[in-house]
Amino acid sequence: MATKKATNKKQKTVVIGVIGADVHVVGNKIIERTLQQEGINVVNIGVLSSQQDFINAAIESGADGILVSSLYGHGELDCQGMRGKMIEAGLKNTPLMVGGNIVVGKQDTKEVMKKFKDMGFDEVFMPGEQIFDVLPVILKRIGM
Amino acid sequence: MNLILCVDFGSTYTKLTAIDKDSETIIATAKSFTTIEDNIMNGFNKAKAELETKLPKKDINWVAKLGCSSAAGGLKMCVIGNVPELTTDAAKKAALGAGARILKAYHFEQTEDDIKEMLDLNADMILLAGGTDGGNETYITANAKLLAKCKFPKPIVIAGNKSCQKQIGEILKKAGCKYYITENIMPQLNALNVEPARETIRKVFMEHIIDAKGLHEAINLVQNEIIPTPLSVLNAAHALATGSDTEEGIGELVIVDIGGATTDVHSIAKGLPSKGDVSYKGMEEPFDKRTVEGDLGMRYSAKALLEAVTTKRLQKYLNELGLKMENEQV
Repeated sequence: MATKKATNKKQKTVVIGVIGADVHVVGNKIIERTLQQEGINVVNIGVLSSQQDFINAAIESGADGILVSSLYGHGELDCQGMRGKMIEAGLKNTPLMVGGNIVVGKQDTKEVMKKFKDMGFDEVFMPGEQIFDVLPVILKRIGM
Repeated sequence: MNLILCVDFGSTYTKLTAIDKDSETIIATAKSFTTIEDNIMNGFNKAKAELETKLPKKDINWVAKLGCSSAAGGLKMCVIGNVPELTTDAAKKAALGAGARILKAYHFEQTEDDIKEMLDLNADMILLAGGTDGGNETYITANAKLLAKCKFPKPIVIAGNKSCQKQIGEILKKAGCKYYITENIMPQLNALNVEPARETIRKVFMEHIIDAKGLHEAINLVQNEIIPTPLSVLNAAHALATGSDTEEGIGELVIVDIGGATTDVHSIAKGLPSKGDVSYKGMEEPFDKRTVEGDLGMRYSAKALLEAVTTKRLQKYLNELGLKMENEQV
């Protein structure tokens, strides 16, 4: 029996939320439902969340990944230094993903992706990308 | 005359109150110094004798005897959690709600020096928390291993991630530590579940602490059990606010208990905002909540109070009252 138990995969946990002073909640709810349907334990910290809120939630819930949303254009400012804080908190290897309208105005996709990857984000989802489309990428990142 | 006897074994005084059950009025009060060094009952008997002089000479029927205690420092605890704003905060809330004085709150992984500090602080009990259910196991397990390694001699209440509670229990059992497993104080992120932990702390207080504090004789005196004094205040506040099956309560309330050394604030309230357009952040608050200002009081901490108020503001206040006092006098 012990061997069977050992092969049982532990349910994956992902922390989601909307960063900064952003209150756009609709997409946040869609992401929550979508991930739940995949059997993921979703810890949704909701809108108006600080970097520290994401990190604290990830520590306590033993999260397998963090998915940051931002729609109001200030994502670049809000996300700066987040990976550094995660390293401080012992979450060096926890996958960090971001998606939405993450920069001001229309900017070159490649540059934006590079900017966020340099900031320590493992995956960057650009405007127009649907959660359903990028779901396989997210699942792979959290080891499903 | 059907009377209820209430006894409060305080750090300085043992206070007795006689309440007439039928008219629901306080008939008499008396106090005497708490005699924890020799026999707690000496002080009690002295106060009881004084109380009896104030009562009618005949037809006295004691229908109930209730007791609480903050003698020998009350219930002193250290709490350990993960994140300061999450499980550590929840652990603090649980311990405060159980009537404890929190000596120190620790977060994340501890060191042997921290455990030594807990012993030096002379904590009566440790509350060990950390992780949501199914969540983080790293810190709570590491801390349990360390407590086991140090053969921690005081009771440990485990109220963390349920996925590893049993395993932690085994670790402590092997080391011969006294431990009690209860429900997680934060089963989901920001969701508070302090009642089971509070109940377990109360039980451990009864089983271990009362005896250690020389209160065993007092147990025989009272009907049920002796609980920490702040818990009895919180229970009283709850009863006053919510009422009983037959009587309406007075509704949400705040009680400020200004003591000699500390000031306790008890609130029985949901504390919800009055406007609808408010977004909730962070940890839930318990309905029955107690917080303590550890260094503001009327006697031992009067100096800290003066420092907080500042002589300038005190002078201003005295002026408003028409009183004058030189700075030296203040």
